[in-house]
Amino acid sequence: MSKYRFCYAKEDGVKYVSHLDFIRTVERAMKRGHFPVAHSQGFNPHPSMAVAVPLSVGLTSKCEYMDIGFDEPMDNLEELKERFNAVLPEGFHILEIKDLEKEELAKFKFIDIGEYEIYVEYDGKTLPDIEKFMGQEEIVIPKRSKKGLSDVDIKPLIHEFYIKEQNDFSLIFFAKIAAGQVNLKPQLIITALCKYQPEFHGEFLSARRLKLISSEKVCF
Amino acid sequence: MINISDKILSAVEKPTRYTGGEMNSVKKDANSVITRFAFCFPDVYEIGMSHLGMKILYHLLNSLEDVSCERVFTPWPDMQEKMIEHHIPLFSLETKEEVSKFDFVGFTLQYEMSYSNILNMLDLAHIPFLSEERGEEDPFICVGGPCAYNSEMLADFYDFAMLGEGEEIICEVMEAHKAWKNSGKSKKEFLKTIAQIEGIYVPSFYDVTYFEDGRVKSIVPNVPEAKPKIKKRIIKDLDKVFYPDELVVPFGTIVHDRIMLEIFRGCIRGCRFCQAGYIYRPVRQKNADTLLSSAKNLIDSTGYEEMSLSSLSTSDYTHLEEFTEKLTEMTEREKVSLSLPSLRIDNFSIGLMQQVQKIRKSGLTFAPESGSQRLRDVINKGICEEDVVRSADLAFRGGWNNIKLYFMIGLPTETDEDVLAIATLARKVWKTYHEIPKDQRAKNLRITVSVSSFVPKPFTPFQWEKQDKTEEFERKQNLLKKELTDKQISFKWHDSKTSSLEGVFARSDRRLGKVLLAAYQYGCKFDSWDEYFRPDLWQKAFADCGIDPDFYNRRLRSDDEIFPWEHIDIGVSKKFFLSEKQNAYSEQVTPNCREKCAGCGATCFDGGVCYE
Repeated sequence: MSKYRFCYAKEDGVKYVSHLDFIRTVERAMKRGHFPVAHSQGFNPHPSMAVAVPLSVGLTSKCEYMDIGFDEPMDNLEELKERFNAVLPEGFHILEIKDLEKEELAKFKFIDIGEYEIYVEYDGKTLPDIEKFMGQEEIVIPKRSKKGLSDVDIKPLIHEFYIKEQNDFSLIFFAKIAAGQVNLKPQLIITALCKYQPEFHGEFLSARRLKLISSEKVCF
Repeated sequence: MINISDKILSAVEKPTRYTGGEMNSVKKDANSVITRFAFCFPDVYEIGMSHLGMKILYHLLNSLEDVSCERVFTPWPDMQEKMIEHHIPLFSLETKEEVSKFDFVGFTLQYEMSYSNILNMLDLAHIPFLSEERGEEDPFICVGGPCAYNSEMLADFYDFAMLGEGEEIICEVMEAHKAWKNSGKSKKEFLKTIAQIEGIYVPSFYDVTYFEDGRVKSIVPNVPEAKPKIKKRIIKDLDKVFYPDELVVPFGTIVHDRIMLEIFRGCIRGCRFCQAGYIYRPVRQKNADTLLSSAKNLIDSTGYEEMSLSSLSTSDYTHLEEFTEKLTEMTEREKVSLSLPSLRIDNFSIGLMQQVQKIRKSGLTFAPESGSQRLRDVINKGICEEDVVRSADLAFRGGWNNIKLYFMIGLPTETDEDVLAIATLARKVWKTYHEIPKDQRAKNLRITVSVSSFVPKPFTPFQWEKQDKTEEFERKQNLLKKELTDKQISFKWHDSKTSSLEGVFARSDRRLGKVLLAAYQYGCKFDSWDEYFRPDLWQKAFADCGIDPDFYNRRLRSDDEIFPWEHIDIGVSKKFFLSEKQNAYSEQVTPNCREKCAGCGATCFDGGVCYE
């Protein structure tokens, strides 16, 4: 089996397509394209395919990764990319493909950081004090888990956070936060910010993932 | 174009119901076409997207150069709330255009309980409900689909109906619209033009008078262009008609999330309760070669992993063995699993199903419809108890352990004895399983007995019949509940209040339009969804409009009564229905179309099984 890493974008029109629906979408696209995709053995063969750090519903991204196994080596990756894009619905777009045999790239389980732009609507009056926010000892928010609501300190999960762009009634934040095995949803930082600074009237709209990083090796 | 903000989309369930952009959806520039058609399915996305007729007509209309067709479904109540709050009118999925900006707003009428959603959608689209209240700027509201044959309770709301199979007639209407659009003529002129097309019904061109007791006295055209009788359309040659090579592939899962390959239309059987068995006459089938080429194209264009054959009775396809042999060869090669609904169980079909369902053995469904032989003869269900038992035996020995049995209660001439015979038959199937040696059958038997309540439908031999009242249905359900206590047999039944209301709508006349409007205004919508169905509000609507629902479903009609649908001609004669009604009473079975022509009248279409 020859494995390849696909770097792709998820744009506005398909941002509400869930992770599972996306996987089905790719599986069907690969059938449409008649690619020699490798399949798992067993009663119910599945295409060999893995997606790194599933993106939350409602978020866009300019750098998602998936690894796909093929039964035969794919010589022309530029052509494969074009053929793939021709069978994907608009909004999902393969940017580049790399051969995992030729390049040593980080395993998905070792991805630990994500960079995001976070889009927030606010009343145009009081800006949040990010320095003060980041200077706190801890940043505790209630988080829903299988066991119910519990308080979590997300401070250690935030590596960088600042206002990148300021418009009349909207703000764009930059956030470099935990992603992967330990994952922080970007909207939760805004929840926390509004909790600690009630004078800031912000509302999370959406976010865009810019990068996935592994402290072990390059991802792509 | 309407912009639906992230705030709204992220706050509703399943936002991809509203975002469009699915593979194979067609987005045409509004300025590049003459006619824009909003195809509305009056139910939620997952239901509407599962409907084959819509898929066919969507791609057909978009294949016309001057026409664009876009999809619209009923927004789920959570989305409706947001739309009202943010003043967002109903929009199409493709270009997010306001529905009121289209030339045509077409509703498909698949089941009566979706009628309130039509008003709901017009309301959300800010289009006046009544055709007489709409002006020259408003779109034409049209309907089609099986319930259009008698949609008199909607007659005040829509401008015209297309009766029968839509592939040809809808293109003729589009042609007429192209000629009319910039002609400066009125909408009424357009309706007069299309009223001359066979199959077009413009309700406002007919005056209906009533006797004092509410029965119809006369239905008379009031313009010269309107035909005294409107005859349904059929497609004579299914091998030549348009069938899409593409299907829209939704992102989320829908009810029927697979390729649907239509193998024939109509049914040779003539079960007397079944409207589909009459309105789609005569049976016409597609050639195996046509089907195989469609199947290949659809696999290639959709990437679906599953395909299902579609027809009213798969086993009645004449070259089924030959065809399925070639088809399974293809589906196996393409790694597509094949499902074969409505198959009669015999050695051939068991073998076939074992071949195609290698992995999972899903349940098998039998529809004896009645428990007793006497009642099966009344309804012309041409099977006997031995057939059911033999089929069950074959299925159990073939490895199936999950069998569903479908029945109906409330059929004409039914006695308690007939009702109890349902339990007897279910127990016989149970016994059949237990008589098979353990090493020759699968473990964990599950028999589901599903009982629905009979609804007399127009254009059937039972169109004159009285429907059981709600309490009577419930009494009969309770009779069965007491009998079916075995752990391996589960008993399911339909809500009888829904069936009663469906009985009223099915044989409606125009006077029910105001009840529908009142019920909608009281808050009725999504009536086919248990969690939204409000029989109390319907009751109030009937009372406030001074209309007794019993008049429609609790009355045995005389042979010479003029029906509200008397001016609609499906090609099967009233004389035939009357003789079938007599045959039902005398428990006489009528042979199927391939055994012997029963002279129903469908030969008038010059095609199909009548001329095989």
